[in-house]
Amino acid sequence: MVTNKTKETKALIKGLADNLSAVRPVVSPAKRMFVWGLFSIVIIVAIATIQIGFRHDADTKVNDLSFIAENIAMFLIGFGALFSAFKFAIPDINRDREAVTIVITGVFFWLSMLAMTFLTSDTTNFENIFSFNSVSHCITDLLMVTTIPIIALFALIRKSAPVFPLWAGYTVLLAISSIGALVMRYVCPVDESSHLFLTHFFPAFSMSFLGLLIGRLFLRW
Amino acid sequence: MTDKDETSEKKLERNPEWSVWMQEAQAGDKKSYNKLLSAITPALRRFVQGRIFNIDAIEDIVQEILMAIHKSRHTYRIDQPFERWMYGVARYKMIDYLRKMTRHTKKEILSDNFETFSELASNNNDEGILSRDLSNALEQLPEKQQRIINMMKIDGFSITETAEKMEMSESAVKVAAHRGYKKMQDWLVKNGYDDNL
Repeated sequence: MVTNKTKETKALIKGLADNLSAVRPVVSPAKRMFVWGLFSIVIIVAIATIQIGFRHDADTKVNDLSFIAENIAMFLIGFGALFSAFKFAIPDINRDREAVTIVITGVFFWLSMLAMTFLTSDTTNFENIFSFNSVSHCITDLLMVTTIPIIALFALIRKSAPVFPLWAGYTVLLAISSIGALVMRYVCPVDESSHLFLTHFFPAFSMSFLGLLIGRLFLRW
Repeated sequence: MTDKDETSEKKLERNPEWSVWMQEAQAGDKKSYNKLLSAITPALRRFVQGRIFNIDAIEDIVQEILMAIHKSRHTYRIDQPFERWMYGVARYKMIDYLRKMTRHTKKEILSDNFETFSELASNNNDEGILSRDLSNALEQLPEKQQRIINMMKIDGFSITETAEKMEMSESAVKVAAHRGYKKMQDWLVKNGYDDNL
């Protein structure tokens, strides 16, 4: 049965086809991850170098195995989450299993790092950390170095077609906060667990949850 | 899903020509695009019909989906199964449409006219009332039909899964569900809802 509305649909199809222009298909999530991951690192490192400067003992720290392991973990979480974000930016009937697994693994690693630093922290020191201005600057520094990549990536993901906006928003923030926390380890000279927990890892991990809200507000199309 | 899974799933696609037409459309081929949109529209209509009661809204949603497909056509990659991509857009737009409708309905209910219209059951679109009426309508059906509709509409089972669980053929499930919807619709109309519900 042909109703007025089905006639409208036919007219719409004709209109869309008549006004068609060529488009360039998006590149694979893996390629986008490399390009935009690199972009984020360059921007974060550039801002950190110009605005803050690197820690004086960075050259000796890179020989510390636990420091390297921590950096590798954050790098992998950051790039993995970015890969997932680009997967979520492409329509699919179900959430991509691979992307979901990466996110869950990333969150698990983050929680492990948080637990490790918390358990090795001198909790009586927590109050001092917040009252000591120069150290609590780490939180504002983290926000400062990550703002530009976050805005750029949200704009990029929005230009795609995320059908799971909350997941896409979360993974973008998880990626950038992980990369930001990684770079912050080369900026801040304090390696004390209580400091790392309160002003690096906990804020970075908490920041990723803001992505849910931003995704809900800005990634709908 | 790994690339290997996607490739094997792609080979099993029911309409492999759709992804070819889409690829040609991305290159600017208007003819292929027209063919593609005309071919997918009945499939999209079926997809929406299986999930939405309101007959009037179905064509609106199909049109929204077509526009969304047009807008997001650059996100389709040839190594991806086309139907998964297409139904991904369709599912998202359908939910988006329902969300907008719910918001709109809530606004209407909260407006000053609420008291004037609240006596008519057809205007009581508040989620709670609607859900209570739907439950009552469902209770009018024989147990088997109730179970089928519950499985398909509440538990989210596909026709195939429902057929397997009920030990019935797929077509028997479809017929039972269709008859069930009809009976529910009749009951709702009798109780004050519009007949284009």
